[in-house]
Amino acid sequence: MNIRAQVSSVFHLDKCIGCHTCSIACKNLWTDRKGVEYMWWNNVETKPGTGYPTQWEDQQHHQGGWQKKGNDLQLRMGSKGASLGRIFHNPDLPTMDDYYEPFTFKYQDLTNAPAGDDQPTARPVSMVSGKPIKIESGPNWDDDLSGSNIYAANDPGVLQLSEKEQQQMFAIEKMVMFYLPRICNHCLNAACVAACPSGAIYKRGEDGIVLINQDKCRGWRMCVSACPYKKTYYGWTSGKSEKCIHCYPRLEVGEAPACFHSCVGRIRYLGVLLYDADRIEDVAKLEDTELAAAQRDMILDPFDPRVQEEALKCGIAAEVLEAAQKSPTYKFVKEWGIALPLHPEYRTLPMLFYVPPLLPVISKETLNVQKLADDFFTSLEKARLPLKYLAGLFSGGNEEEIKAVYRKLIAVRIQRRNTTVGDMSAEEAQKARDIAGVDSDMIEAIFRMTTITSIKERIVIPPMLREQAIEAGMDTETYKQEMGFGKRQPPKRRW
Amino acid sequence: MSVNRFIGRCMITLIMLTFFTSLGFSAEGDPARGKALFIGNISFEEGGAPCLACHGIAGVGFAGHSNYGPDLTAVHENFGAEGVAGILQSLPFPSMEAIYINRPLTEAEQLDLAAYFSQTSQLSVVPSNAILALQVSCLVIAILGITFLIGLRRMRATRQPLIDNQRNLVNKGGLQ
Repeated sequence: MNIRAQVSSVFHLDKCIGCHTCSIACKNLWTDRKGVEYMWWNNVETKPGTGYPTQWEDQQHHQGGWQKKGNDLQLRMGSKGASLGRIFHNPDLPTMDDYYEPFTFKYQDLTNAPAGDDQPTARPVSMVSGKPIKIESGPNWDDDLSGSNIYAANDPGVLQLSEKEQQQMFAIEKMVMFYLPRICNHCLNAACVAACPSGAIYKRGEDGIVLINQDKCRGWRMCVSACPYKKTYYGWTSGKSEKCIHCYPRLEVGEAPACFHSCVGRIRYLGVLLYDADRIEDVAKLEDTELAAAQRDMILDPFDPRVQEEALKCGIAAEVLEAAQKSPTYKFVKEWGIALPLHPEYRTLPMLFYVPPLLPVISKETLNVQKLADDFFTSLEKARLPLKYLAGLFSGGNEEEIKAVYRKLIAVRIQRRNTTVGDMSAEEAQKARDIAGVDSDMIEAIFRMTTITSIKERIVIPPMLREQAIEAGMDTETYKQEMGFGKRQPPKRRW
Repeated sequence: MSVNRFIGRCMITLIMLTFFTSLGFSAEGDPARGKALFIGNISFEEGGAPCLACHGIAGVGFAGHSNYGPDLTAVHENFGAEGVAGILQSLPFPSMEAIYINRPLTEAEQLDLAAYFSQTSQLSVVPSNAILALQVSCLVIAILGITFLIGLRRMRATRQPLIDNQRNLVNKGGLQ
């Protein structure tokens, strides 16, 4: 066993209100610079919708992630030789049209315009050309438009549904949508790392955060097309690619990442997961439908003495083990089994997990009286979203995985309704628990974690132990005196 | 090195001497040798650049057609035998002086070139730029065409086609 620690996250989609505070917090902190305006390390998408960049899930077009070639894994964009051949000409890069033309407004016109009969206006101008533009898209252009016949209807997940299922999704009064916040998944089998011709991308050993070394990056942009989640971006002024850094400078001082910290709906959970790195390759080669379960199997129990012993042997500090025991992500993913990875079929083993949305109940207005709809959602058959759609998102098409999660969420809903409202009987709650295979304690634990926990319970940052990492290389006192702004690594010019 | 070069020089002088003695120091140049010198098949004794590096001339094909200096096909006709001889002796042009001031042409070489020029003035075929231009433009079009064909596969937009499809449907009355 080769045990490693990974700082991983869980996003509870039923709690996301789509306010984009996370995106703004991230933008203001990291990507508020020239040439990176279009980078949204964190973005929130409306589902059904095409997302950002447009149709990023359509890997026939974008060629991201891995595919099985015989008994081997290969990047979908091609073998090493093939991508070397296309190093100056990568046909799979997203265009500016897939992102959007970044824009601003001529605000100075509001105060500087000469006196006239009309109110001055601030015209939109392109941040690329500086000329006035007609804004035609943006990073959340399809926001809230779950019924739009351009963006929602062309969601790759919707397109794979049958005609009948599609109609059901967009039927009036049954219209359904949810939000999908996305950051870098800090994958175990990251395609960006594999695709980089310069070897500039690496996964940090101590916490599994995937980073791009800005000194080594040569701007080939192979990572941009290789990442199936399109979460690496090319910086047009620096000539280097950049991506979500999981706010590691904040984590190292014990603060939550900016998007986690600012989350209004408190949907974001962070904690350490222990996993067996020896199994990565075997798991990544499994069938699409087996991937979500196999990935859950890879995660190890931090309470198991054998695991603890092995972990210590593999160099994981006792403090990190302790943090792993308190990890809310371990509870969501492994203990309760209600969080699933996004698109496991890309075979990158993403370490950001989502609790699929059960969605609020529908209410109906009859004769000016607002009532809950008759088909109050208490069974799988009455699910507002087609299970096939959710399975396409979170379990590589395996509907059983979604059903298992839904049964547990339904059991929580019924039991809590029994406790707080009282219109559901205890027998019904018991029946739901039996179907889901959970006990009352677990339901209370799930309820507690999703509703009333404090930030210290939701976000358990492991000690990053920078001192130890520094000590391995040099004296800490010298480091403090000499390395205030990091190491100087001048580029080596060969001419 | 310098010893080698010295020996080489001696050899060449020796060969030249035998050559000239056999010809009996004829004042007539050898046009074939002149042509070889012009093209650069035989190098100038003092190491000057061959004429063809800059000048074009009829009868050597497109491959050797240069146009940095004027075309020398009709030089004999224009300047006459004496004029050509004078020019070859001193090469009194600013851009040529710099090259040949330390590498003058030998008398024999001057005679050979003059003899060659007296022949070329009879050649009526002046190399035409038109064919070369045609060949070059064909090549450029072919390269651009290939680039365009490769470009067809490159960077297909995603969002705009979705919008266009929708607009087409609306225009056809299929959707509102």
